[in-house]
Amino acid sequence: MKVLIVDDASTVRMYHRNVLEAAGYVVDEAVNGLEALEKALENTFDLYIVDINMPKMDGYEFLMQLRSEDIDQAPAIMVSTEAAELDHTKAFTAGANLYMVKPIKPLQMMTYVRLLVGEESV
Amino acid sequence: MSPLLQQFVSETRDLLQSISEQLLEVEKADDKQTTLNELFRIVHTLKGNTGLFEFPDLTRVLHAGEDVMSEARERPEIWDQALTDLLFESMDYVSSFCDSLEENNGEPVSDSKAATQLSKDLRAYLDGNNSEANAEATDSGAANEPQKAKKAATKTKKATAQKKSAGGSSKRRPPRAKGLPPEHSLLKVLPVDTLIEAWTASSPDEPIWLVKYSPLAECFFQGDDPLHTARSTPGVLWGKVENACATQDINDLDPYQCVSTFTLLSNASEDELHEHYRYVTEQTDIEELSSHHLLLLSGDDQNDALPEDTVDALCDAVEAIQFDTASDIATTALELLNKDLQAAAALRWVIAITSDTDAQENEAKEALIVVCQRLRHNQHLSGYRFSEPEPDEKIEERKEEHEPEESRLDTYTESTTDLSGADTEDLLDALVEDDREAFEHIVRTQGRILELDPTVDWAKGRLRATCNVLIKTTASLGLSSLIPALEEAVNAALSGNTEPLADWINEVIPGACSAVGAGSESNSAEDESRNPDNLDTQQGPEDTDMEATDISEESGEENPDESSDESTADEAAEGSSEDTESQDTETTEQPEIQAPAATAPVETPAEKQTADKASSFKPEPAVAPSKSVKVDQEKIDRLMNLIGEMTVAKNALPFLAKRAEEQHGLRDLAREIKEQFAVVNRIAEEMQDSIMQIRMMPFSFISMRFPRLVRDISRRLNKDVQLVIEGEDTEADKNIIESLAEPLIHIVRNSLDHGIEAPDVRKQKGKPATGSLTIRASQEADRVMIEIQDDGKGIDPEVIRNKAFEKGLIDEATRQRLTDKEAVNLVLMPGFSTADEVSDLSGRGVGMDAVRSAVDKVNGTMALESQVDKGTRIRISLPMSIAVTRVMIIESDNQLMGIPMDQVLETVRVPRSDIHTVKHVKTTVLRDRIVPLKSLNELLALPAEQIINEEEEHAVLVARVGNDVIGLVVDDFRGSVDIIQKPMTGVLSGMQAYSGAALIGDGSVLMVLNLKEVL
Repeated sequence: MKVLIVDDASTVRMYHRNVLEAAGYVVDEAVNGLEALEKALENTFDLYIVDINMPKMDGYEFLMQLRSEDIDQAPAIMVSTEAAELDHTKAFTAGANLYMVKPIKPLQMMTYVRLLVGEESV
Repeated sequence: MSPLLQQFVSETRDLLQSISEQLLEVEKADDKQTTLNELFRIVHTLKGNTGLFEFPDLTRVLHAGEDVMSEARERPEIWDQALTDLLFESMDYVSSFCDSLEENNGEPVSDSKAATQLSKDLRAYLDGNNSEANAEATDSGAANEPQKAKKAATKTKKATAQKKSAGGSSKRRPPRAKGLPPEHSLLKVLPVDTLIEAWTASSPDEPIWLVKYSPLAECFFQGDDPLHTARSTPGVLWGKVENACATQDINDLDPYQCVSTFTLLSNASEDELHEHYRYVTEQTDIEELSSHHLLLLSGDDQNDALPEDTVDALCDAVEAIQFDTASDIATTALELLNKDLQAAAALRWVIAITSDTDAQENEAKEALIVVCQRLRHNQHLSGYRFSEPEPDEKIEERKEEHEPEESRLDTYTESTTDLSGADTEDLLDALVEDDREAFEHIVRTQGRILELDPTVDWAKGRLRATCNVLIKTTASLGLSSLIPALEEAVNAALSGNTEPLADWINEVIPGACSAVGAGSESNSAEDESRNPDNLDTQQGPEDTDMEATDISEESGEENPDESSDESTADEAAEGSSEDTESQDTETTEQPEIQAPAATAPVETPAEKQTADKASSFKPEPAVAPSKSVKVDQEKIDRLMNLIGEMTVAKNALPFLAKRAEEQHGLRDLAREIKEQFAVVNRIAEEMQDSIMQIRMMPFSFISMRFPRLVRDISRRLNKDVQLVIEGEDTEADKNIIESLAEPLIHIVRNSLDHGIEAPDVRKQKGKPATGSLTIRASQEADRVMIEIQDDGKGIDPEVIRNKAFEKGLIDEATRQRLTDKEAVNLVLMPGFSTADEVSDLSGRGVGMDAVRSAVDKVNGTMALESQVDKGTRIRISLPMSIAVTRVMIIESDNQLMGIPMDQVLETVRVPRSDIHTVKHVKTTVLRDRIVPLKSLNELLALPAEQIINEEEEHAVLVARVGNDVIGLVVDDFRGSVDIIQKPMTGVLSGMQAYSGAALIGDGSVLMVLNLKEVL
């Protein structure tokens, strides 16, 4: 199972990577939407974890491209520090399947990731 | 410290640097918006990162910073220099927080008070400016008055504290002319009773004094009795004793040392206090406060403690000077309030002030206004800026939306019995609690996504993703009984009819998907029917048609709306945000969902552009993280040491070859060894080069601090300075670059403080009002040149001459003889400082000689040129690396010694007859220049005479030491060699004559002379 973390903050990427790798996922990273799009074109991922605010291409734009170009329709979680409802709607409209507010607790993240990638529970 | 924390610290530092660059940019930029957007993004990222850790103080400051940035992004006009200062201050806090994280291995020692203060200041800015908007937006009724006053207060806040002069005339000021005094962090912790008591005891016309007395540790031996001194302070209102080193273990405490500090509040006169503390003046800090500083709300922070109308009524009463009413309101409200809250403290202030019969009406009102302002501030800590009617509703709506969600979840699942999903409920119940919650949340969310506008380009992909999620999630939990129905529904959805899918979702989570197919799915249905390459079209074409007609009927009224929506997409987006969630009415929902979709193409390219632009400002942030590795310096140092040893080891090979040939007569072997040596030598040299390359750092590493430094200093001095930095990518060894930081800061300070004149002075001299300061780094051969040039008043050589003479640094003859240029360079001499008065910034008596010694330490040289009224130029020349030194090996009294090659000018053989004694000093004439000669044996107190060769010539090494040229008489020269110089350690470290030692090829130790000390 392969997960792409799209976030401009290296600390957040590392945090997510730590959690996911501990759970046995293969993790790749992208620092902005543009890089993520390139990676999505070359590889297949089982899940995208996407930040909103990023330079060059933000999370919304990335998701819209991901969905519209029919590049990948794998589940995507949008993560942000904003809890505002408006952002949720924007995220879902763009193509996110789940909206989570940072920081995500490791257990919570693992539960959701496991469900979203369709991995059988133990 | 965990790797994650390390990553956090290092990323934070990078982000702070970007913030600081952008902050400076904002002040200059014509296009503020772009920079503000970028700033917001960085601060936002930073805040997001802190959320991963438990650093409440840090998060508080950054959150406030983010809010301010968000506000500034919306309304760039609120930006001013004070805000920049405040943000810089906040970033300094973050930076010092990181320092403490690193120092204390992940356990930060945080200054909570500072954090609270900063976030308050930031938010005050927000509210203060916001009240401006409020005042404009609503009628400026009486209730708004305190807010306005507060706004004025925030702006003048800093100035007020010092303004009030001692003695205090009884001149009446109009109540609101005075601003809100800053909250003093020390006073902030006092209980409100103490504050009120102190306030009642003091008179508004007399200043009160905050005395901080920190006795010296050894004060007991000087006959001091700190406790008695503190207790007998005249006019004490309040006092406290603190342990200066609270963390110290009781067993480590030295009872003969004083570790206490005293903080006291006094209303005695300044003279009395100074008289009392006259023997310990340097241990006391007496700060002037006005009685208004006492008007603080201590207690717990809770921002919805008081209803807004109560606060308004209170303010109205105060404004109308109806103190009885105000007191009544406060008394009533106080009964209902938790006494520990800040709001309660405010009410008690109101009661205390209104009942203080001594106070003048005006003074009381002044005080009450301060209290009311603080109360408002406290009560509106968050959410206040939403006080315009619409957003307020939005917030409430949002709150409602959030809270019932979970309870709704429970009630619905419990009541599923009356729906067909009894089985489903059982299934879900069987799941682990976490899984069930997650599953429900995911499915509910997909239901929501299904309701969204299906007309967007990517709707098809989105739908497919949603289907994927539902299938995977369900499968993941092993809810196999749900799957057949789901698959059917998914197939229907993918071929254009989402209704079964919505039904399925509703069955699993009742009420999760309200938009049951029909209207919203219309377009995707059309879309799908146009697409022949669809998945198994289970639904017949009739179905699709039916759907389509359904829609046209239903959405007949919406269509005109829609078309106009597109032209005014932005407005629609705003409009829609008001009625955020409207699940029951399709009419409102349509534009709402439409809006973000329609705006998206309009908005995102713009965002993208700004982002692109913003990134082109920066020297390109570390975009590809995988390409660079952060390594502990120790590891590189170790590599460096190893390669040093390797160099030495390899140098043994030629000796080996020599021995093979001479002692064992193996010429062939000797040749082979030599060949092999050439190979090893090449590799070792390349290796050394590469390792050195790792240690190289760009000049920008230190120069990036200068913009901020120059800005801060020039603002403090009220000077206008344009800073230009060139050659930031010039590289040098890390140690060199780092050792350069302090001296450069010193030079820059000097330039700003003493060099560049105030704008009016400059104008008088016919120079542009804006001074210029240029810092230029460049590489010349194997040296790095740093040049600092200003166009200030320059250095007057006459002044320097006289000063040096007065200080006894030069004699009368030298004074006459020195050229202007030489005179100017006298400032580099130890103990020379030109500043007539010691200023806050520079001129602490350290002066340029400190700079020079720092430069000397890394084998650099510096020179100074200056012209009166034209400016000053300082040139510093540094080696690129100090890791490897090239030395000249010389022989003296049968010992080998090294002399750093960059000091060696030439080596000559001087016939004995050419050595003359002039004024007891041996000299020789070299190309028409007199060179003083010194015998090395003599300098090192070696008894032997210098050896002379057959031609009666002395070996003389001409060296430059500082700015002098001398000839060193030695026995013989032995060529030059690259060495890795090790500093003298242990018992040898006291030997000043040597700068270090190194191993040379034959395994022997070579001592490197420190010529400056030897001479």
